[in-house]
Amino acid sequence: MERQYKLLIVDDETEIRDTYSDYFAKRDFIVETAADGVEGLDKLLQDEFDVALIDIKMPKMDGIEVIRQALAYDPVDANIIFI
Amino acid sequence: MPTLSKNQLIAALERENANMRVELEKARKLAYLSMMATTVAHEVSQPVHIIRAITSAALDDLKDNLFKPNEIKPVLERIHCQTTRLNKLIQNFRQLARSDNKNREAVNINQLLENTIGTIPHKKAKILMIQQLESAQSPLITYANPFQLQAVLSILLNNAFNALEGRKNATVWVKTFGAPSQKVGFSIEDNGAGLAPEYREFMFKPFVSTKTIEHGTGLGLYLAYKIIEELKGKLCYKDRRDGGASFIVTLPRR
Repeated sequence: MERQYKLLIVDDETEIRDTYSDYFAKRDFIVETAADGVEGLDKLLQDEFDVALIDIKMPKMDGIEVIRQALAYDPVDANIIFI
Repeated sequence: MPTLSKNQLIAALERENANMRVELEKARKLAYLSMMATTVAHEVSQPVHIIRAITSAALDDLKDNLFKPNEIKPVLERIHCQTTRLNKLIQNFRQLARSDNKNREAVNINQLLENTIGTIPHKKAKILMIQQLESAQSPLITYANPFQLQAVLSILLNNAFNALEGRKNATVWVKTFGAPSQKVGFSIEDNGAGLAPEYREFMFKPFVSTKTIEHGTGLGLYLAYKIIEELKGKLCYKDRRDGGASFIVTLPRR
């Protein structure tokens, strides 16, 4: 069986998170979500993801800062897509 | 050679003055509108983005045979919910476009500030709210068009954000107060560089700006000053004690 891809969605808007998450879950992705930058960074550092979809404007920590901090920390090698 | 009499000269100057006032009023309205348009564009884009995401996902699901019949209802409900959000926004904007002295109502300063700050995009600065506690005998209420007060708050916050661009520990303090002397109000403080002395004399005059042309029209503070003046209040500037700027809005208590 083909390997399942692991995806992280970081967005403060519930509707966006749910829509993207359902879409990819239906297509056999393993999906994790986070509701703000801090939670997103935490998950990004703790787990391994193939792709991360990250909103730019978010409370607590914006998407750009999440990436900056994640990249400063070596093991993160997920492909990052801003949404 | 015919010369103008003193009275003719005065009349000519007065006409010129009146024309300039009309031009200024036009520029003021335009600046107000462009500021509101920016805020509204930001607010509109989110529900539009959500509707697009929901519909694109549903269309893709249909194409890939992944759409289940029982998903139609929730999809429609979610789209409907976002259109309601857009509708409300447009209603608010209409009210705002009509905003003037005529639509005054009792406004609670604490509530207004709380609600408005939630809708203003936070750039790279912390906002700390310090609210004066209210008692039943002395609630922080003034009589104004709430949209005009929101516009003032948004102008002052934007100025503070601009002053804090690229600074460490960028913080904005929003404080409310009720003075015993029948006054209520709020202040916006920042820990930026403060205002250079050469601008102080002209800061509330039109077309005065410390910003570059892309960032400022030079009408924000003038607009805010005029709005507060029309409400029989006061807008003034003070240096913040630990460095930075502080703008204080005082309004009559209702």
